[in-house]
Amino acid sequence: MELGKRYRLSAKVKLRKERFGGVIYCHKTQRLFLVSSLLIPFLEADGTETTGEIAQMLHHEGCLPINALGKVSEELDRLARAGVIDEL
Amino acid sequence: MSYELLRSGLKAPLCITWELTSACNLQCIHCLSSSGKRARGELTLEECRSILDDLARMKVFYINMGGGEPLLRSDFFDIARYSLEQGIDIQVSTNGTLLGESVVRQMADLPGLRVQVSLDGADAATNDTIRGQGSYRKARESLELLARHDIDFSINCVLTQLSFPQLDTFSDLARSYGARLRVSRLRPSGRGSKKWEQLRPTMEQNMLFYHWLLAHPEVLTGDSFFFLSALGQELDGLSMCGAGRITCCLTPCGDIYPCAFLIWPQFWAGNVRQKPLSVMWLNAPIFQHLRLYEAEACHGCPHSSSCHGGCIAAAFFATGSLGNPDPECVVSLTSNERTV
Repeated sequence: MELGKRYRLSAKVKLRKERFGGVIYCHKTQRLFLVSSLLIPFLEADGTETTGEIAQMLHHEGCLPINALGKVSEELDRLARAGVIDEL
Repeated sequence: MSYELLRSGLKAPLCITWELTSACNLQCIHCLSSSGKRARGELTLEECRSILDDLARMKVFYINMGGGEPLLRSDFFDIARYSLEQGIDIQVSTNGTLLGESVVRQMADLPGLRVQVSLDGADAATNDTIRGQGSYRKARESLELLARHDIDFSINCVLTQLSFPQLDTFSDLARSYGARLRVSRLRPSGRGSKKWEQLRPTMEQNMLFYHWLLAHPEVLTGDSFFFLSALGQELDGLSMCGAGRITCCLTPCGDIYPCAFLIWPQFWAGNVRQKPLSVMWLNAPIFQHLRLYEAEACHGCPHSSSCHGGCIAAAFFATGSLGNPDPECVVSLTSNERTV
């Protein structure tokens, strides 16, 4: 995971929390994405903190096992490639 | 996309189909809602605002506003503007016959509003056979106007025996406007029930269409062809029926159904004049039923994890019973693999 990155939801993208995590809808591409609850804090931060800062905070709170970091990183990359989040 | 995460239903709809009016100036022979005359007791503007408040609280992402012809409501732009102010995006489905310069200018002033123009043939002869004389020319004029005003729009084509051979032409047409093509599935609902056998694609066309879709990932479908995923590689998008799970339909007079193709007493969830949609979404028996529903006839089918039984509305209206497989099930039509 590249810890210094900051992400923000792209324009015309909406996020809603669900039992399993969240749903994201991109109005521009009309695509729907499902994300796990691990991703939600990274998406809600809205670019105010780096992924490293968020991961560290979650880890201290016992909400992010070290072995889940790779999965979170992959998911953020996937969303960035799909134009759902922008790197600041 | 994970079926298991969605099958028990989201806490609120992602989108709703809102048929704003039954009034329509066309008489398309396959109309899913048998539109024509305005219904008595259609929702007032004040009621529409109250519904939008409820939808905003539920964090509904967007509304498919259709009808009938939604632009026949004189307060259409009041409703659209209020929806956008509440943070709910809009896709308006129109027949394209009422899009004059003034209407399109008002649309251009509403970011978050997307337009979908129906065209069921890539030439006048094909289109007008289904949508009525002169409708092709008017729709094409509307497409020109929308493009000139740089409005986000798509061309919506219902897949039929007639439109199937024209898919590439449709695709080129959409591209020429910088627009997207959306292909929808014909269902045996409304007037479509009478034309279903005559218009529905042949089995061969459906199978060729599956490969065409795989080769054209830019084409939108509203996820209405997920039943074709039983042929192999899953199509993009939702691989199951979203009725009552991620979407529902609101009719001109406030009735709620799981989907625009399932408007039938057996599927009625309630009326927003009596109960907010937010309450019905969680408690209506029909929604709870559909979230547990699996087509009985598909039990044991090795492909059911790809198509999840297909379209409930197609099965119900074509066979008269829930529990039957989708009448266009590509597995049962091509082989005898089902192991029931």
